Amino acid sequence: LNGGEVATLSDLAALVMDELELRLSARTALGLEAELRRTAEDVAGTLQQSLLPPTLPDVKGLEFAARYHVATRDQVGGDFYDVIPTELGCAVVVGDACGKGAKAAALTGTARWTLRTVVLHDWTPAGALTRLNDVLVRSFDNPERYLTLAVAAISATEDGAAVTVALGGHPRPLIVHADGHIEAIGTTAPIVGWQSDAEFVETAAKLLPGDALVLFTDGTLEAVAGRGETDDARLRAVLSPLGGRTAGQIADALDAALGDDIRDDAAFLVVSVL
Amino acid sequence: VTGDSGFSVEVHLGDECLRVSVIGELDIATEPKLVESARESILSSDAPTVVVDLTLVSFMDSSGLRGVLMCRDAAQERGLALVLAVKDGPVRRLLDVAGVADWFTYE
Repeated sequence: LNGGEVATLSDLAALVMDELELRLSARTALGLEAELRRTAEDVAGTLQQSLLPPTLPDVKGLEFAARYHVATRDQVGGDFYDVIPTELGCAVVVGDACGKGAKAAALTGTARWTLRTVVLHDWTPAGALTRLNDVLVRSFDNPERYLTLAVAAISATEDGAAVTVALGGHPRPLIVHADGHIEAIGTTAPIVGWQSDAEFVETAAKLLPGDALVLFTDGTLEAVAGRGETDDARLRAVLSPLGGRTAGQIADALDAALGDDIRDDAAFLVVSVL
Repeated sequence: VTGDSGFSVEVHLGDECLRVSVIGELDIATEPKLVESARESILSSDAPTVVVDLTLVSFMDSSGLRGVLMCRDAAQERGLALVLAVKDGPVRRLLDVAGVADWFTYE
């Protein structure tokens, strides 16, 4: 080998070394990224679980079923639900915090525990939304502060159950009567947490044995009816044949109707009267 | 400002009104761009009226709504009237479901 050839060979060797180092660092980066993703998914999953009831309670005369889907596994979703036994029956909540991730989780946690506190004694759904609205308007000095909610008070009566609903910027829950007739319940009122003078309105209805109440988020509506859709006609069509079924059966059937491509978070809760 | 999937915000300042025209999908990804472009313009505007034009918004979610509400807050901060331009459709229905339709006046 002459001097020129040696120089060429050592240039080539240097190129190969550079290439190897690049590939090695790319592999390390990929490994790190996978690990970061696993950690994020773990944190999101753990946080998510803390925002949902681990089990739904036993309330005499009622059966509950809930389903929950997050759009992305490495971020906490903004949807949540809760069932809280109360002095006269139970409080049922389905909500959707604006946004995603840690901020939405903080908002969800505040909303969930404020409502759990408010319903301990002498409460009404509209009163609960007013209190929560006050808490959020006063203490959340950032734009990640509003949510939409449907809150229902349900108590057993001699011949079924009495339900009172208040909405805060949320799609109206649907009653699935035993005969398949679908009835929307609730009066439109503003989102919760943005404006201090928001007023919430109550609507009451009677549930007979075999009737069910379905509370859901807009993500559920969109998963059934299409992206951006706020009309509940498709959802009504899915629910109507389910008249007279139990909460568990209705939840399974509705879940199957959501389709595979859920782009937003989706949560719903079914209460049936035994 | 032009960004994701054809989303854009055009701000036009006239003598009588500041017009913020939003085009495309207003969601969690694009809402910060609306707030970024519109808020400063609103806070420094001398025109008595702000119009937020949503007639060319093809999709809006709750994060998008927050962007519109933040424009409203900025206008209130300046003591300006905020007017929305919307047509019948998903955006109008979202405002109705959210219970905020009567927080605005309309063009």
